[in-house]
Amino acid sequence: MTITTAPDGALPRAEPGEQVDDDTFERVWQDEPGFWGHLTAVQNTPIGMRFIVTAFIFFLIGGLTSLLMRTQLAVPDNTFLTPTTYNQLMTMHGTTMMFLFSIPLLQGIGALVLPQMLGVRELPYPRLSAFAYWTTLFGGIVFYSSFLFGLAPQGGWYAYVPLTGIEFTPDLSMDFWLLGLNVAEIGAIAGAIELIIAVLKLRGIGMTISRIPIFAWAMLVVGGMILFAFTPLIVATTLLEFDRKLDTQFFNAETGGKPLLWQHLFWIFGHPDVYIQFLAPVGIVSMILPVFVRRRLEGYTFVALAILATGFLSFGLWVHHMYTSGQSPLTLALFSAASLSIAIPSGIQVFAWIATIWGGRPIFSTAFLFVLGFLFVFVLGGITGVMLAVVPFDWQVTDSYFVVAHFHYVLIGGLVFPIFAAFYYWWPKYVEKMLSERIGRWHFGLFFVGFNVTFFPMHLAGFFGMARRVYTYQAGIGLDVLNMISTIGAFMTGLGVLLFLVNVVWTHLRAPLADANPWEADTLEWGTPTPMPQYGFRELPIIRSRHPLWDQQTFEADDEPTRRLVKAFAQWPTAWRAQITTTTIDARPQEVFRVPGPSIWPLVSAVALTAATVALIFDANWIALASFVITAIALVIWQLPDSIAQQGDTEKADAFEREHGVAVNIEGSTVVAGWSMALTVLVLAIAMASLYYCYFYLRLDMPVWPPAGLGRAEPLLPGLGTALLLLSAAPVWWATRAIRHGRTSTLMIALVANALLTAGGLVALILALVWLPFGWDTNAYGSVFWVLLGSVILIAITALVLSGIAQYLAWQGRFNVRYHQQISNLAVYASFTAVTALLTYALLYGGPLLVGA
Amino acid sequence: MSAQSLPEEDRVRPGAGGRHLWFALLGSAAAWSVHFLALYLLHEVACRSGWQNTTFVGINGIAAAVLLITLLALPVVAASALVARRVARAAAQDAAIAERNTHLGRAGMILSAIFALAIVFATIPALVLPPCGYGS
Repeated sequence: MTITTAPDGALPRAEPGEQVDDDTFERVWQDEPGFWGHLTAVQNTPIGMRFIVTAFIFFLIGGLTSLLMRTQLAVPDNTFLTPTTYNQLMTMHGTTMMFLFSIPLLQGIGALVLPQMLGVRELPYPRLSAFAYWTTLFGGIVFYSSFLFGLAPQGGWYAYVPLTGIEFTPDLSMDFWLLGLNVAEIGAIAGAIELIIAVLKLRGIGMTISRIPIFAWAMLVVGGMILFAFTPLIVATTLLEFDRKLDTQFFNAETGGKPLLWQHLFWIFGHPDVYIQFLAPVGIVSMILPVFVRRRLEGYTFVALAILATGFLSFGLWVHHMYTSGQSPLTLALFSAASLSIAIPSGIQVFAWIATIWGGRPIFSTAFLFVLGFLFVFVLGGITGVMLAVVPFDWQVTDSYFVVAHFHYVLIGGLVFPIFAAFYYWWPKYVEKMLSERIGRWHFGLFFVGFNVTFFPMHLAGFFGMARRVYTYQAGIGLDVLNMISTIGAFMTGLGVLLFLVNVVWTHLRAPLADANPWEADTLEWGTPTPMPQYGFRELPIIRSRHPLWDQQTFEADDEPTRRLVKAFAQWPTAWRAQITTTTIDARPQEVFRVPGPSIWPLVSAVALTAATVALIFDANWIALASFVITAIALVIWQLPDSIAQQGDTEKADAFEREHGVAVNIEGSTVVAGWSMALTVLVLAIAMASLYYCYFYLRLDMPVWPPAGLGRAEPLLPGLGTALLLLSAAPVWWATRAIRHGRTSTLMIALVANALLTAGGLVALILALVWLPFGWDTNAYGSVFWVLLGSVILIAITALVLSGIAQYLAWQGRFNVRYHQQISNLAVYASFTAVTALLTYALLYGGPLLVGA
Repeated sequence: MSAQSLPEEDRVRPGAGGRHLWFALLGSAAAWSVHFLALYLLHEVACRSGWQNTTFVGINGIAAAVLLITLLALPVVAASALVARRVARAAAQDAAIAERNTHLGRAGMILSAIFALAIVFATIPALVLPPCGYGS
């Protein structure tokens, strides 16, 4: 197969002569100048860069902690570190790498690269990206500030109870861990929602579902996985924090709680998380590898479906971290079966890459060397993974260094090698300099050899009985030489990373501006000039291939209506940041919309959220409450549509809509708003499902339910509250119908009815909660009862706030036949509230009757 | 590229929204997810509630329940595979839509095979292992 590269400059660029109002367009897409501009920036390029730089700094810190640990383990019975310090470093290392390095880095690469790779200007919801960045940064800072207080956590990155409960960790160290990470996890979920909508709804015209770059497929699946994995984790960390601060009894075995429940909730997150960290990088590999072997990826369909299959199957593996915790044989077999099945899609991808290299003409640049390093290391890690999936084998090596070796082969192989490849590959586009190939080769060599020297001996150390998570080992039991080799390897690896930093600084000072497409790559981000303008493309390219820059001679549309739409869109609107959403499957133009510009409110809400967290750590509950209220207000303010639309704009929008048959939404995208509401409801539904799981898990081990001696929860009042919440959804659907027909007075009446019903239901439920005859600290039954009913109340309060916002906008006359997305969103949310209230009521008040005693 | 310029047969009807395409692609994955969750919950509930000694037409009650869940899941996978095959073979004049059909159809068929295997794989242990512990 021969590849012809698109002639230089084949991507459409509006000629200077035909542009009207050029300055306005450029200025609108620039951030505000100065320090203020940095604080308010929301564009995908600066946000993506910040994510990457922040995550890489955390990577360096995490790497330093590992060098300290390896120094301690170099010789037996070493006293370089105290056991406590070792435990702290081990906890910080794992937590940093899993939460503060990998996920933020991958989200950063996604935010930086995806929009232009997909042929559009910007992410769908830039203020959410900015919020995600700030929460990740502040969460990490809160977590690391525990060092300043001498309170670094020691519970490991998995934080097993009861070690991390209040009895065995009475100081504040676990509170830093739990609350700091909660803030960072909220950032991860916000980023995931952004990336999902970006891939589904913001693709270039013509980029059908079968032309999506593999990296975008991977980020789509990863986004979905983050929603399903991180939500149970937030539930778990919140429950543990309740146990520590409020004396709930979820994990306390003496009062009906279950320590193993923590392990389930943690690994329901933890195992998919490993695949999250692996799928996004393999998406990167599938982009880079073809460029350097000058050949299309073999089996595009196979690789895409393998990513999908891995995403699903990865949720069926969590118990394989718990093989030794006393599960029934069938449960073990079920999870073993899924653990073995997932080798199939991983294998499909490996063979697709091998076939591509086989038929190509490799160019051994540093980026490609890292891809080869990835293939070698990851396959080894995958094979030990299949070994560990087998229950009896796992029983032999569990908690030994064999496991440490395995997951470092998978995570460094599957994540760090591809990320270095990505750095060398995308550096010229986004940093505008070529990294030195000469230093790069040394970097690769030291890193690759050092990595294997470090971790290969650990397989053997594990077989010889070396236990993981322990600060030292005895002399003379066959571990001395292996550990010394590992330590030497660790410093070699560290030297490799140091060379990368040298490379960055050296080329930053010396290298000239890079070419626009130095690797002759195939995807659209390389079709932009270097340095890339913030908006990427003024005239949007039309996509007809999976490899647009290789296959397409022209980026203009074949048909006249689309050609005229694209030309017109390059000229109008220029006074605000505009984008086009496209249909999910076939990427036809659907809607021109105004994408939000710079704003200080994402930062304000992130700061307030962090302040609330810090206040909670130190038991300053009133400050925490006030900060939560400020967070909520800031979130609402940033959502309100900016009213900068001039009268002329509305007329032009109408004209544009008439001429091109594509809806124009100056107030913001109805499509994006609808999707974000749907995904938000999905996250809340997953959280509620996790709590229901806790309820059943706790219930199954109790011979009597509710436990004997507890007063009976009175069902009438909460029943009334639930009924009112059920009824509250109906008027919103009525309101939606009314506004579709332009009946604004009916709309107002319906919205008021919704607010009254919601408020009434809320009051009934709150009274039912405070009148409960048992406390949340009585036993596990009391805890789960309070938390479930409390969650419904929180969801209903949000429904009331959303209803209030809708009333306000309705009073302002902001809704009309065409634009009434907030009403449709309220309808979705009110229905979700109704369903949740009903299910929870049935479970709490009907459950004991159904299951019996 | 706009809707008007497409031949009649290629248009995705509004409302129908290409739902059959999503079922072709992800129907088998959804079936596996529900099957897996059902089996997990069954194992958790059955053993702790002491159902391991029940029998149903001569086989262990838990094993019978596992078989039943599998018999419900596999037809959904088969349906997804059939819809995927129809998608893959669907005629389309527009090249982009023909490409998309082939891609989604093939992906759906292979995913069905993978998830059918995963479902069968998860079922077999119930037929050969004691459900709730080697002592029971």
